[in-house]
Amino acid sequence: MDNAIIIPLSGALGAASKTVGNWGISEFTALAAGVKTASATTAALDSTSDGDGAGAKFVFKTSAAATPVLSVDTTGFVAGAGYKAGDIVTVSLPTGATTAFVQSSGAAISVTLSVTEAILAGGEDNAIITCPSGGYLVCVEPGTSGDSFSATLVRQIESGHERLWKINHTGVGSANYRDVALAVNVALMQTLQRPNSNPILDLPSKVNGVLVTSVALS
Amino acid sequence: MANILNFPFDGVKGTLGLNVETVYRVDEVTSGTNAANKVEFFHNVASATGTAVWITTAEFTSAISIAQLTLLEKAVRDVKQTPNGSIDISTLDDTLILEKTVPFVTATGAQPS
Repeated sequence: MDNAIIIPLSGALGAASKTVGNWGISEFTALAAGVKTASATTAALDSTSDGDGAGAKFVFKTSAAATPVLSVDTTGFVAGAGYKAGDIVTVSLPTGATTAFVQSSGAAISVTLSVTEAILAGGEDNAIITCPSGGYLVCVEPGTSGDSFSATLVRQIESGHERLWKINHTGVGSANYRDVALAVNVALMQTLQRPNSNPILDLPSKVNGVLVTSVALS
Repeated sequence: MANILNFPFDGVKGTLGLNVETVYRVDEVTSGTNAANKVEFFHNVASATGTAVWITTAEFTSAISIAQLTLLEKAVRDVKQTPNGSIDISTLDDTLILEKTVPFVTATGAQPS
């Protein structure tokens, strides 16, 4: 028997999407060394996806070496939403003669990211908060201005230690953080009081735009 | 089995619940910021070696009276008599409203004397 809260995640791309080793960059690698621009940094480039995901943006840059090496810059990244494991995200690297372009071959080339669960911000499509076997879930703690309302917490206590379920989200601010807390509370109360219940976190229409990116047990 | 006290939450229509299934004591807070508005719920769950336990501090929008503290103590006892029971505190006292910024804080603490 199990009681749990199921939390649909937004499908945002996570930090692993900024590791160039996770990208297919064979078209860049195959370019002649002379058309790979050293020390270049692109603008934030739009991406496309063969799935439902959208909105991710990436900045690519090259090293200063004689044969420049491509990498993904940590700045300018936009995580997007709606991605699922198995999706292919594609970015077109434009051609140009200045250091705003990583290559000058005369034609745009593509680099691709195969989305896996490890690349998704939350590591999966849905997160689950379960009741501990040796303790219990206590209450919901709303996001605070101190952390820019970036997370809503579910407090868990057990003998000798305490845990926080941290529901990380975007789109939450001073105007709606209490509505998000109330929605989490509804799911928490249901899972605490109904045997074998697995409520799905339902964010009400008044908090449209709020996306849960990940859930962490800290 | 969870026993819940539901408190109104300042500024929005809805409640936040506090699981009091092992709470054995409810005390006023005597020092610190907004101490008069706060109530401590002592969980019978060890938080460390020795006698320390987990304590949830609830902060309300106004100062808590002795009568309200007594009401909360009684509510804890009553709700624990019903498996999976819950009590809406607003039906007992509609002025007990959780403060909107940090309504609950749970931390380790010493048992009261």
